[in-house]
Amino acid sequence: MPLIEIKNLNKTYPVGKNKFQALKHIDLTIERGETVAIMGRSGSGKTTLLNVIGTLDTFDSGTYNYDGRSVGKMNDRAKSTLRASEIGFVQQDFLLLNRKTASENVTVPLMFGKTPYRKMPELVKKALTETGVPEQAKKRITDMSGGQKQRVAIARAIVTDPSLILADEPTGALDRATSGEIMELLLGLNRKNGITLVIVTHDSEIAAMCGRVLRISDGVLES
Amino acid sequence: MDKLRKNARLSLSFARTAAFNLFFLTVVTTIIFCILTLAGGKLAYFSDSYVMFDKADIADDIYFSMPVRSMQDIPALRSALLETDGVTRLIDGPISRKIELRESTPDNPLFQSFLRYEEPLYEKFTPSLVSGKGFDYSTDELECIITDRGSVDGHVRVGDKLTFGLHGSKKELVLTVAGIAEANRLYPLMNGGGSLSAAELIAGQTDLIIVKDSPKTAAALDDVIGGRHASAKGGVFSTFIETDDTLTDEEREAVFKNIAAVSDKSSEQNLIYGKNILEHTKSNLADTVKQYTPLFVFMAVFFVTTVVCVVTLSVYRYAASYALYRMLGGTERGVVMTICSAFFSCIALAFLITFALLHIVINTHLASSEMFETTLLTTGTLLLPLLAAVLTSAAAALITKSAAAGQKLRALSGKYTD
Repeated sequence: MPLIEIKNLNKTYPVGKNKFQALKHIDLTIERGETVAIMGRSGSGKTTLLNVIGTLDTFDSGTYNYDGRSVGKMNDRAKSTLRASEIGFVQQDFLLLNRKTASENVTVPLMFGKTPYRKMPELVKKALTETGVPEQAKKRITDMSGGQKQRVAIARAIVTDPSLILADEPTGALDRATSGEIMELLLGLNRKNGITLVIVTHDSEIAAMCGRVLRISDGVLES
Repeated sequence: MDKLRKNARLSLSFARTAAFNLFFLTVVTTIIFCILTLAGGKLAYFSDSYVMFDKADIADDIYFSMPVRSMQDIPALRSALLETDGVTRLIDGPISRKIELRESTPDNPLFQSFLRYEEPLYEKFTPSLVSGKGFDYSTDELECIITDRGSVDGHVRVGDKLTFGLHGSKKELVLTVAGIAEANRLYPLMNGGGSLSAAELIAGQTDLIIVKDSPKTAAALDDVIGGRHASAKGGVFSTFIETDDTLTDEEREAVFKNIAAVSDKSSEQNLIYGKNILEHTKSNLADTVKQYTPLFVFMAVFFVTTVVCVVTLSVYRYAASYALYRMLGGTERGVVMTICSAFFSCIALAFLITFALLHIVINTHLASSEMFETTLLTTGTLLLPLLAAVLTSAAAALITKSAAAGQKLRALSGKYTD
């Protein structure tokens, strides 16, 4: 069974009195353990597609099944539970709590899941170790470099042992060398843990590292 | 339990960064309120005075006050009053005499003003003692009672001995402190119309003491302080005239007129029903409450306005945190509750920290605990701020949710993350 199965999905946004169709008749299937890059220019709908996959955004028509479960029929609680346990997010601007430490940031997703409280520190430590920044645990985010921040963000994304990581331009704010390290880290997690990876990028070199590259233009996914 | 711990931790984490300014705002506002209130104190005085009058049961009494050319005129005046139909007893006011101390008693530089309390007066207007047993009129011990403020200023405790002397006299008087009384609850010296304004000054005089005046101690007192009839100089004679309880209002009015006839009509006189004194005191109390009302209103408006401003200015920051928590798996209800409880805990903690101060201010400087229901006052002091905390927190959480509503979670959280 594929992890992600989307059929004839459409998404529109109200723009004044009119409607703008951001996604048009999207058909997409992603198997477990795949690494998929979605490329497209600005405004093509790639981030919208990522948000729909991550249940951060709704869709107007079509079907979306995640691991055999219909996302369209889920209520807010069910979607929240799905995000808390199955999906990790990595963003270009890290989206970390800057005044908190690395371990405090990585702990946040565990607060919403079913992980026993007493096991949280152990999982946080494991996640930071896996992303190569265990020594940064007590350090505040504001005191870190961009590469370290992204590693902490990735640790936060994997701490709940998700089956899917959605990364929106994860190397967009990093230099070339650090970008390579981050991509290697993400791909390494895919190889080692079998985490499915969907990366939105406009960088063809980054895209080339993935197993499959999809292009989207004006809301239409090109085959 | 796990869920509770997680929610508490998340709430605390949010509170530490996002809502802590409200904690300081609440503490500062409460302290400012307390300082402004402490600067007053009239309300406590009037409510304590009302309690004192109520306990003395003066409603059916008639208060008589008249200047006399000589203190030697007083006995005749008293006799005439006692002979008036319907009059059962006179409770004379205390003789007030300020004595200048000799320099040779430096151990008592503070206490200089004396009120001599005979037993009937002491029974009717028993001082409210904070320590000590008070006067024992069955002994010939020379005793005094000082005020609570005088005790602090003069560093005097129950059992201490105070030495008094008089310029031009070698004799000394040694009094044992038999009690320490609340300054607000001593016998008031009322001016015309039964107003307590002059008596308010009495409460502020830390050098005031009351001295046991009985046949057994009178001679010793007279030696130094001077007797009631010792001076040919004039003064003011005041007394509470107790009347027969069974008198009707018309009969009491007749007594009133007869008493008025006793005094010298060419002199000023003050004659007032005891119930009118009670009404005047209550009226003073109500007027003072009205004076404080703008302060309460101002502080409430200031607090609410400032909180709203703080929350509104920071709402996008809160909304971004809201969006982030939602992205990481928080439900809408759960995240709103987290934010709400974070605000609530900050404001409630701030009030709890200042609760002791607030409670002291309200109970001791705004109202007598005997006049206002203590439980209600204590409950109100705690519940009202907590209610304010609940309302503010709920409003802040809903504002945050509204700001995030209709926005893509991802987009909003991308704008700002704390």
